[in-house]
Amino acid sequence: MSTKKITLLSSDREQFIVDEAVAIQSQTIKNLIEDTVPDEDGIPLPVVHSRILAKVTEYLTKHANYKPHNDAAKEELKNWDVKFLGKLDNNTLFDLILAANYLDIKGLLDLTCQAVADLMKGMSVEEVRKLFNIENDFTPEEEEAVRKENQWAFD
Amino acid sequence: MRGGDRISDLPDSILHHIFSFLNIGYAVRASILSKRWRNFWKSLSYLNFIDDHQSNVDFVDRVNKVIILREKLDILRFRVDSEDRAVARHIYSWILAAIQSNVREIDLNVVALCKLPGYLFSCKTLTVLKVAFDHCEHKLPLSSSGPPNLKVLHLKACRLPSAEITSKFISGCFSLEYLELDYIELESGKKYLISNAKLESLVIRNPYIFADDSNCKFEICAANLKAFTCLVVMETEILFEPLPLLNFADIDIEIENFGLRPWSASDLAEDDKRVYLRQVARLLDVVRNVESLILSVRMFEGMISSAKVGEGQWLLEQCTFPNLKVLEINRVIGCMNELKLLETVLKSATALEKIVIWTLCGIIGMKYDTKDWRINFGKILTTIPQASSNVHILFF
Repeated sequence: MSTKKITLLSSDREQFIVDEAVAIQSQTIKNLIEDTVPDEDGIPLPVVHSRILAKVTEYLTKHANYKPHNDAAKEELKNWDVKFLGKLDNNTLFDLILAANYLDIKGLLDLTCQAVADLMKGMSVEEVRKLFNIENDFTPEEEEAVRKENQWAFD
Repeated sequence: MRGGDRISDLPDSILHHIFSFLNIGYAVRASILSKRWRNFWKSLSYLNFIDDHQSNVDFVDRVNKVIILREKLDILRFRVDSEDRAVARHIYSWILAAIQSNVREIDLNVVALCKLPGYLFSCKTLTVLKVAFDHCEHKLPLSSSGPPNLKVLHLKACRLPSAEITSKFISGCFSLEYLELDYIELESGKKYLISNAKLESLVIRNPYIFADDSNCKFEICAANLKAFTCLVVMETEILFEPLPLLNFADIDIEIENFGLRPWSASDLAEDDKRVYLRQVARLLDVVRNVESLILSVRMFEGMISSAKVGEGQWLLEQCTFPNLKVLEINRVIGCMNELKLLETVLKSATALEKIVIWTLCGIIGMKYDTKDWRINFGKILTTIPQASSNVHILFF
């Protein structure tokens, strides 16, 4: 197994040193390693803050080379994912989604998108609006009209 | 730190991803959140119609509404999950609509279906097809050739058409990489040919034959196969053409046959035991060169206790895997056979890196105590000479 180290540089220029096998789970980082001459401080990721990159590398380190076939091992990894998500506030969760999308890490994007979906499960529209601070820019008449249009989904 | 409305700021592609995990009703109801959300649901690329019995509006009507009102953008996934018997008659037209929207993935979890549109079998965009019924007796209508770009086919709890049509269908899916057959009902006494040059991964789990005394056969002819998972009863015979690229295998043979037989191979009548051992030997032979292997110890239970000790002993000696790196063993209880099996592997596998031992306690999540047999078992294992210089043994 390759133990070559890769240095990642967050937007606030903090260095994160990880194994290459860990880093290249991100398709974007993999392409950057192959295509560009690295900054002498590391591979610059100008849209990912150190606070988020720390979370991303924590996730990638756990998932590197880990392809469990056994149900119990899958369960263990799933439990780790649940704990990982449990420590995040909503703001960090959305930052992680954007980072996973930019870095092209399918597993992390799935995990975080599902987490947002799970937050909405069982909630009414009003509860969802409150949960995500969504400003209602409809007039009451407009909102009523849209509701009527899609009445079948509310009944 | 930013607050505010983070979700509405997300690009649509990510919102589609988030709503891919939700029933379609959430996206439609989100239309009244704000103007940004008003028509969002009409562009959804993942359509999940899950009948959760929460609505007063008929399930079929809701699906039809979405199909009529949505923009005709490409569908990445079309999923129907319903126990409503009325659904069977409508799936035909829903699938036609999905095909018109260049559907990539169809996932049906329904009671049954009456008919599949012929267009489905020539649909060029379809890459994933999953069909699960609630009961084996319902027949899945297949054609004799498959969608040209279908990569993943997963069939569960349905009755397949004749062995001849099924075999033709599988070899007619020219792009098929992953095939999973789960609790499917087969014709008794027939041979099912799984012949496909591209197939990389095959799962056969609990094929089912509705007759006490009958058996069936699979013949697997897939030179590109890299992963093979197999859980069958001993009456299911599996024949193989060579699988030179096979790298991962998870194999287990059950004895269960309508409660007429004992549960353990060691209690089988001698004739049955011989049939059982022959199946084990055939599987062991085909997985000889894998790097990663999952075995169930029940396959070895009958060996030592066999009246023909030599036969069982011979099988154990076959457990030499020259390329094996990771071995996982399920259902370990700490008996002599298991030690013998591990001894054979440890002494012969020069590339071995890791052995993972799943005990029954580990599976149900019990903690170790100091008198645990695992501690002794582990100690004995460390005294066995190892062909590989660095083997980690893990107990769960």
